[in-house]
Amino acid sequence: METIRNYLDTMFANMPNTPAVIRAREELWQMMEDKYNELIEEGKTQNEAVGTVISEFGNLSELAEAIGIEEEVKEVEEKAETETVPQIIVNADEAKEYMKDKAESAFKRSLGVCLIILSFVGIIIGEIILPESLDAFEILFFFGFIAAGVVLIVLSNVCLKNWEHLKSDKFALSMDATKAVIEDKDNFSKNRTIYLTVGVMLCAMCWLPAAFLSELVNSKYIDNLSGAMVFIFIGIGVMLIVYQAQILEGYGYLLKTVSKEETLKASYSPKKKNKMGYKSVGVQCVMSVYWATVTCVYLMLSFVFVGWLWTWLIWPIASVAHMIIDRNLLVDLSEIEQKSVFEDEAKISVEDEVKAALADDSDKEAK
Amino acid sequence: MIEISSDVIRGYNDTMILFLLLKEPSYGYELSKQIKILSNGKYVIKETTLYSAFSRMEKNGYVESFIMEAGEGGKKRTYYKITDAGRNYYNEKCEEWLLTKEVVEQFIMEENSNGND
Repeated sequence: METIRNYLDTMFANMPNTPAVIRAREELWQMMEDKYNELIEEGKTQNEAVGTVISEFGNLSELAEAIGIEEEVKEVEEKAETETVPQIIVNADEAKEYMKDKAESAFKRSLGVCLIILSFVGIIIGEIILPESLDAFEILFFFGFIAAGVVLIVLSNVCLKNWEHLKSDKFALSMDATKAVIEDKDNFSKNRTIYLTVGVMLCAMCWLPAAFLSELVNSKYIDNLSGAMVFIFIGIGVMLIVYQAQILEGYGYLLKTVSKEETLKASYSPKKKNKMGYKSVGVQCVMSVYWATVTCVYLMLSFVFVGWLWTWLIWPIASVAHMIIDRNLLVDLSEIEQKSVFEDEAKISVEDEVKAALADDSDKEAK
Repeated sequence: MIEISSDVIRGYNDTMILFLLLKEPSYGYELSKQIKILSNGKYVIKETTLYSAFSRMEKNGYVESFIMEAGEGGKKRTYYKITDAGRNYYNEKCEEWLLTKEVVEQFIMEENSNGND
């Protein structure tokens, strides 16, 4: 089985990754797998079965003609002749390994950015710990943080050193890997939303502790501390945002050779959501200006009532409201379309089957 | 042993597939198996030939594809079903073949009858 898969991967390694080609590969795999399984069931040995399947596979030039990619194939062949760089096929394990390294790199990089932002906190902490000391200490803290941040960012690049060979753009994902990466990416998108939301929230609320603390107590310590809190909030917020963006970039990098991923998803895994929207046009209009409206209300309330201390509550309330609306009214439009098409087809095929069965019966009776 | 010439049969792969699809929608391997059985094992259609035919006929609107879970295993497969245009095309191909056969047959003589005469 593995041999057949490798054979197919090799055959397709030089093909452009268009949806038509991916579909062809998927279909051919289906047929080969079916044939292999049946041969095994008939009592053939694995080697015999693999041999039969591969010898009856045919050739790809015929296929290129039928799915309209002759020109691309010719181009690839010509390129392959002039450039001797071999095509690298990344399998599922390697893809996973890459994403692991990418995650480590993303963590280091985001932490580095965070530390650079926190360098200002260094000054403030210096002031708190040694208020009477010279400014030199504060500057030491400041540059210490920046240096640590820069080192981390440099290290983040080192993490990906094993993958330099993929930079040449000359790699292709194996069939398994394509599926696995797309799946992983979809799973990650949930976490990603959380990272992004929390990150943005932290940045937006960075002034909150300062406002509270200075309202409650009035001391120089607290003043300094609340100043530090602003940077800590922003630092952690930016860190989360950078982290998720880096991971996403990793998936994008692996999948960049898979063109029009959306088309692939739509045609091959109807389960996956790809076109979310509101059913009614009215709701859609309202929702498109939702956050703009909330921002307006927030600013108006804050200015009119000078209520900066409590108006921020609008944000969590608005978020929750948005979530409730989404949960109840947001539907997957593409699924609805697909379902209706699918149901029609299913109906017809069932009808045909019934007809065929009836015809068989009457034949038998006639005999 | 003489094998079937792929050049000659190429024009009639579509006909065989459509004939099988007339009965019921089916998927790749099932069709290739049916072709092998009906031809008494004399013609084994290659996977690439089969898929090329599918994709060409789908483009021409002779067949439509849909994804369905196969009964036993629950494995998802791409099924093909014939359209009205496909039925018309099939009938045309049948007539074309009868004509071709009629013409070519005029020029075929069996060695035995030749020798005995």
